[in-house]
Amino acid sequence: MAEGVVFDLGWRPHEGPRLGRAGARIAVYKDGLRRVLGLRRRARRKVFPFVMLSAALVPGLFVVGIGVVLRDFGEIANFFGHAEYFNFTRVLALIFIALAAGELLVPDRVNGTLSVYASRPLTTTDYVAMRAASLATVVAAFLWIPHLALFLGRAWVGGFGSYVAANVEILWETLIASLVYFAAFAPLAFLIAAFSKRAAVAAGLFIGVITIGGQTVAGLVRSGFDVLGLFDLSHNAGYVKDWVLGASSQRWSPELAGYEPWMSLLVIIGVAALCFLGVHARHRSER
Amino acid sequence: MTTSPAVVANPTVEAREVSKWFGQKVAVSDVTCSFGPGLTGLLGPNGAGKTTLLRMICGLLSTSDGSVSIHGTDPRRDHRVYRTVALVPEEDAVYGFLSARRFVTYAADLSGVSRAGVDEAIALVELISAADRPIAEFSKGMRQRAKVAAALVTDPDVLVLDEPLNGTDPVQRAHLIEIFKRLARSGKTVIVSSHVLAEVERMADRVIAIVDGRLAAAGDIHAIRQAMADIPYRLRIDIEQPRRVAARLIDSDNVSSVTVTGQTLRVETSDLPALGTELPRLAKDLGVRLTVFEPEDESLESVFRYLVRRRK
Repeated sequence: MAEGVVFDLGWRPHEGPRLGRAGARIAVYKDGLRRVLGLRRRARRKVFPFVMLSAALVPGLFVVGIGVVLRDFGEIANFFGHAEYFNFTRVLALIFIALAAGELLVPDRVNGTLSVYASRPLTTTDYVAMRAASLATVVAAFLWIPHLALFLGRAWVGGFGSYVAANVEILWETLIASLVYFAAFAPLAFLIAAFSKRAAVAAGLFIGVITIGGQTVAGLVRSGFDVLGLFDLSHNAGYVKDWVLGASSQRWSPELAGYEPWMSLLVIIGVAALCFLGVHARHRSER
Repeated sequence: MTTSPAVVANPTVEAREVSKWFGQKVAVSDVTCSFGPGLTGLLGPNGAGKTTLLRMICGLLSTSDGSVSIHGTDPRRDHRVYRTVALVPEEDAVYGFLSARRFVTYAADLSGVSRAGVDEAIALVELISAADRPIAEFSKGMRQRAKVAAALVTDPDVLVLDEPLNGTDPVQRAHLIEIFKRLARSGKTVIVSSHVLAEVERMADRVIAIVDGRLAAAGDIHAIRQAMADIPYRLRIDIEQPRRVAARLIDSDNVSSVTVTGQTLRVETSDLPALGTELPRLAKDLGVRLTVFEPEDESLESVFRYLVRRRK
């Protein structure tokens, strides 16, 4: 005789631990990384971030290749050192941050998925901070990995142990400089994204504010309006970056206006704090 | 001491004198109610303030006046209450680019619970065959079920569902209702809002009715009807020689109107027990057989119709 069995498909309660806020924060952070990099999305979503990452890395690898072939970085180092490299990658970072900030914040608000977060053991601060942390991680890596490649190439040519011992500080200096660019650009990009309905519009607006605003400030500073020298976020970041690296890669607007680098750093921190408050207030009201 | 049927003895969720206004518009006005283990239906027409009340209860919206608590804690002050609370919002709060499995997994991660229950939650809402398809390709009913699965995976003590049956077909609806009832029987606090009376009637023993942002009624549906003493009961009476009976009934102080349709009388009375005593006696006097004597308006729909009409 055939035998049969009926399985109970009823609900089985969760019996394990509940990680609470820490688990929720990690989940938002990981989701942010995936979203910025287009992971688990269709192929076309991955194109932009990985093209940008490649574009940032290729010149570094090219320089390393030449240096390794010539067994000498001397001339190249003068022409394409760490400070100069940032002046190239900051443009890529600006575009990358512009689009990534929108991708991180706009869909949640526009699609009503903020309630997914608001009904979890997670504060608005956690949500905004973890979104920012995921972008910071990718941007820092994006800006810093080429410097790591340069460093390793030089170490290879210059005698690994002795070069590393003599120049190891460049690793953390370039990492700090990378985070300075993130701190200068991302908060404003987040603020604009927090009030936009479309990520692309937010990105365009942000790039416009930074580039046109920067050009305007630079022109006014040259015309004698020194007091405006600290209003160019891009130049503030470059000025602080050169300060951190002990370099002078360009004449920056705040420098031309006679300000010290620490003043530019204070402005970056102040603008970041104000933007954070704005983004926080916006998301708290939109829960 | 008397207690309002709007409050329960051991509440897990409480709203005390809660009001919410948006500029000049009052969305919820001075509502006091509580919810305990079991299933409570939050009933009201579209725009009555149900969603606003639920969003305040869940801490997604601040109150303009009054207070809410879950397990005695204000959810806007202590996010830890969300460890045991799950919300299924009315809007499509899903990521279209994620598959149902990824979405439910993300929900588990956000609530800090094991991913072991993901497949089980998806299977419970009968989405397993579509679990790896992007939610953007789902029908409205499937998206609703994905949201329910995302709530179930967290195994909440308090489950708040805002119009969860919208867009579901009758089979899915019956299945979801059975899930909600089962959760309620297992001791969870389940709050389900709906503007569809038949749905609420099928699943909820206790009803909180909101009309124009105000608490219109609360309690067991039959008790609510009995409490509406100013509205006459409508009765259906099937009896032999209905016209003779009608002529006698119209003289009764207990009857306010009588309509004869074939063998059926429709009677309105403000004193149901008195008529229940009088009618068998009358039938005996007239020598006619009484076959049906039943209230026609103890359904949720008729009670609700009265409540809305009364507010207007």
